[in-house]
This record gives sequence, C-alpha cells and structure tokens, in this order.
Amino acid sequence: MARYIVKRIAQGLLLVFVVSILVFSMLHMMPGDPIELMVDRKVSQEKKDEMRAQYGLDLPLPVQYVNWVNNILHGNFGTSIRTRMPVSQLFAARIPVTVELCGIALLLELLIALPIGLLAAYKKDGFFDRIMMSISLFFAAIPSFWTAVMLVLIFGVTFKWLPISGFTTMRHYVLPVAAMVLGSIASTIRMTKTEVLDVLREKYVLTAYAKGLSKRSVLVRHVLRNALILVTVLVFMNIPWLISGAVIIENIFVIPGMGALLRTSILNQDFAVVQACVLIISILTVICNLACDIITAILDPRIRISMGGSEK
Amino acid sequence: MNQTAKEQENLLSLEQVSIDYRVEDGYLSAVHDVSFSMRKGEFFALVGESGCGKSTIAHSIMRLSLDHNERISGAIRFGGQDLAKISDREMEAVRGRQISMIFQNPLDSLNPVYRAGTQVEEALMHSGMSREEAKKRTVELFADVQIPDPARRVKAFPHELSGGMRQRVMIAMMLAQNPSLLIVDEPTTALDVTVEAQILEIMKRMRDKTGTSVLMITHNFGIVAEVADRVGIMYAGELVEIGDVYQIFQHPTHPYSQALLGALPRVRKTQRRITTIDGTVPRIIGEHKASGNRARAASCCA
Repeated sequence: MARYIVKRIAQGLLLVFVVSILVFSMLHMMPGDPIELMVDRKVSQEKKDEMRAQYGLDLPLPVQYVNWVNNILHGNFGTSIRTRMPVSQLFAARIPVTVELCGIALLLELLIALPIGLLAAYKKDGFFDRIMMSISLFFAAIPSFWTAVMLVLIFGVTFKWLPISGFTTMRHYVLPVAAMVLGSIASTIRMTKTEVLDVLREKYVLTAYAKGLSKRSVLVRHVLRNALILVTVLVFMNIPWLISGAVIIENIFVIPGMGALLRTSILNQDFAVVQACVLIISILTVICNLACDIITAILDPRIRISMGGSEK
Repeated sequence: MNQTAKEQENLLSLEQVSIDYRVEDGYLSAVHDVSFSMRKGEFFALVGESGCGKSTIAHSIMRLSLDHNERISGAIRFGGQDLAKISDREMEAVRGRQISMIFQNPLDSLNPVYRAGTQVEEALMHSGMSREEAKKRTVELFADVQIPDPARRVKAFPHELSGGMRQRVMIAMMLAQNPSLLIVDEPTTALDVTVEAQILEIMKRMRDKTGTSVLMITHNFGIVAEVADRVGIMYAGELVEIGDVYQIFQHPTHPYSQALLGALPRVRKTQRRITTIDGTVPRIIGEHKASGNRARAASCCA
C-alpha cells in the first residue's frame, strides 16, 4: 500500500512538472507584449528594455522557467503586472471564495444525486426513474452558462427574489450554487444509477440474498459498499470540472473568486497571474486524481494488490 | 441406506409448478407443470440442456429472480410452508437457514471487496452468532471443505483464491447455518475436471456429515452418475422423466432421455462423431402445447 502511494505521488509530481512547462510556454506563445500593455506609447525603448529586465523577461526562456519555478517553490508567484501586487496576495483573498462556492455545490450535488441515482436504479423503469431520467437528460443538454443566465433572468430580474451578483449574504449563494449544481448533476445521477444497476446484477448480490441477509443489509453492505467505489471516482473527477465551471459562474455572478481573477488576467495579459492560476488549477486536478486513486485503493482490494504488489 | 431414506418424509415437493416470465409479447413459459419431491438426505439431480428451465426452478425455490418478472403457479412445499406464496419477509427467514444455494460461477459469486472469511462470518452472525464465535467457526468450516491452511485463507480476498478455492468458500458459506436443503446450480461448470472431482467429493462428504439434502442442477451426466441418488430429466420446461439414477442410465424410457444419453461420448466405442440433438429448446409463449417438443425429439430419435 505504501509503495503504491509513493508511486502515485511520484507520477503526480512528474505530471505537475510537465504541466508547469506547458503553462509556462503556452503564455509565451500568446500574441502581445506585456510591457507594451503596461506603459504608454510615448515611453522610450530604453525604458521598456529596462522594465523588461526588471521583470526578467529579457532572459532566455529556460532561465526564465527555472527562475519562475524557483520563486514558486519559495512561495513567490511573481507580481501582477497590472495591479503591481504580489500574486500570492491576490490569491489569498480569492481562493477561499472559490473553494467555498465549489465545496457547497459539490456537497449539494452529492446529497441530491446519490439518493436519486440509487432509488432510480432500485425501482428501474418505475415512475420515479422515468421522471428523473427525463429531467436529467434535459439538464445534461443545457450548458451551465445558459442555466446561469436564465436563473438570473427569472429569479433575479423578473421576480426580483434573489440578488444577481456579489457574494456577501447567504441569499447571494443561491443562484450561483444552483447554476453549478444544475450544470453537472445530470451526469452524476445517471452514472450513479448505471453503477448501482451494474452492482445489483452482480452474482455476489444473489449470494448475499442466498445466505439469508435482509434486503436492507444486502443493499447497504453489498450494493452501496461496492457502488461507492465508482462514486468516489466520480466525485473526484468532478472537482476539476466544478472549478472550470466556477470560472464561468463567477464571471456571470460577479463573484470575486479565482475564476473571475483568471478571466480579467487573461484579458489584461497579466502573465504572472494567469500562469499561477492555471498552475494552481492543474495542481489541484492532480491532487484530486491522486486522492481518488488512494481512496479507491482503500475501498477496493483488487486495485491495492494489482498496483502495489501483494501484501497479506 | 437408500432404503431408510425412502421411508422418511418429503423434504421438498413441487406440485404442478409452472413458471412464466413476463416478456414484451406476453408470457414466456419457462417451466410447465413440474411435480417432483425430494426426501431428506437425498442427492437429487435435475438434468437438461441449456434453457430447459432447470435453473429457473432452482431460482424460484429460493425466490431469487433478478427482475421480479416471473409468475409462479402451483405449490412449492417445504417445511410446512408454500414457498411460492409466503411473503418476502418470511422468505428471508428460509434463505440461508433452511435452504441455501451455490451458483454456477464461483469467480463472481463472492464479493470482491470483503475477505473470504468475513463473508462466511456474515452468514454465521446472521443466525445470531457473536463475532468471535463466528471467526472460530469459519476457520473450522474452511477446514471442513478442505481448504489448506484455513487460518490464513480466511484473511484472503476472493481474487487471491483459485476458482476451486472460491467454490469451497461458497460451500462453507452456504452450509454455515446448517440448512436442510442445499441447491447447487451447475457448481463445477467453470472449473477444470480435477477440481470438479474434488468439489463433488467435498459436497458428498458434507452431505454425509451434516445430512443436508442436495438439489443439483446440471447438464453433465458424468456428475450425475457420480453423486446423484435420483434424477429428473427436463426438456423444454417439462419434467419428462424421473427415477433412480441406475434406472435412468440403464433403461431411459422417454425419447428425449434416450437422445440425451445417446449424446454422451463413450470411451470404448470407436465413434467418429458424437450424436447430437438438433436445434435449440423452443421458445414457448402463451399456451403450453403438449406436442411442443415432438418435432425435435422425433427428428433425432427416429
């Protein structure tokens, strides 16, 4: 088990390294010169070169990369070209907002989707199942930004029940969280249902009945326990999607989170901020995958053995 | 011994049992008007080709239909109850404690996320044993079904055990609560011949030790000859012949039984091709006609 975890962490680090190179070079391939954006046209070439040197933009790319990574490892994500504030300081204010938004959305989604998926599978082709599958098909077909705009239009503008922007009171949370949940809940319901159906058809469920267990203990000890493996994978795979969804939602509802920061920084060609944003999101994704692998290994002994060598 | 067994009362008796599956275009008749009874301590084999309804009977006795789309008529009498009529709750009390069942493929009969021992303990604790007692008893049961090094094997996960070992675990699990009837549905199909012989040996020994009757579903006459006391031959949902194992092997009366036995490969005879029965079991929807099997039976027995 320990060997398996170490192996997965090493793979994760390698992945982060590759991603960091991609993030770094991607931004240098983008058109436009950040210095030109910062200063007035009248500024002399010498002054521009001086500034370029000040930000280290005149160095060869590999050197710039090493400097960048070195700084990040020391907790220095660079300085925003626009606001002249340290990027880490910008993040400190915004990360909690995004985490809160995504966390609430994820929790709510699971609380709604898991019971619905389980029930739909258990009473397959029943009334409840059919209704839920139609509704989820409907929401699966709608992109989350459209849902968000519609929610704003209906509940914010027409009925004026809820505030349409900002992130201060509980009432402000309702629309953005609803938009995020509606955006991804459909696939979660459907996948939970499929997985529970698969497990219900397994022979070991028959075995559990054959040894005399009651319906309830079969469902809890054998069906749910085994379906949980895929559901865990589902949850963790969902987190990066939630974060990227947050970029859109935060911009629509004017929530001061990472997503909003990322968008404005891209528009302003604020190199340091965009780089740090993308890097943090990808590290988060890698961490989620890693956590997912480790948790499934704990839940499923077959993975434990095949990946980490036998242990008895 | 056979003589005394015969004098004992019936353990299980099926009276005119018909089982239909609800399908899109009506009811698919899987079993039609089957009656037979088993005595205590008896080893009864139900033989027939794929799709003849033998597994359907086994699953219906246990009421373990997956889709809950079957319709059972007739009576399945066991221990003073009619298993076709009692409630689900009452059926839960019968399963495991009085009748238990072993399935075709031991490779997926065990839950992959629990240790082999844990799954047997679960059955023991279900009948009210404490955890410590159940643990001890599981090791004994593993030894009974000839699992080598039982104290270590109870901690193994199913995927660490071979098919034969897993089927032994299943036998241990299903005999844990001392049921009076054990149904085995083609228990050795997925296993190789040497393991098959071992499993059969274990089942016979356990039968002699605990007095559990065995209802075996199979299409393998070799197994039947080896272990069964009495045999029922099924074709297209009907029980066409029933009798003592010697009687069936020596003087099969029904043309289908003759055809089935004729399809057995013989070691002594110099034969090129094994005789076969043409076609597959007919699909019968709606009224069951007595002549449903005649065309096929005649074509091969003529």
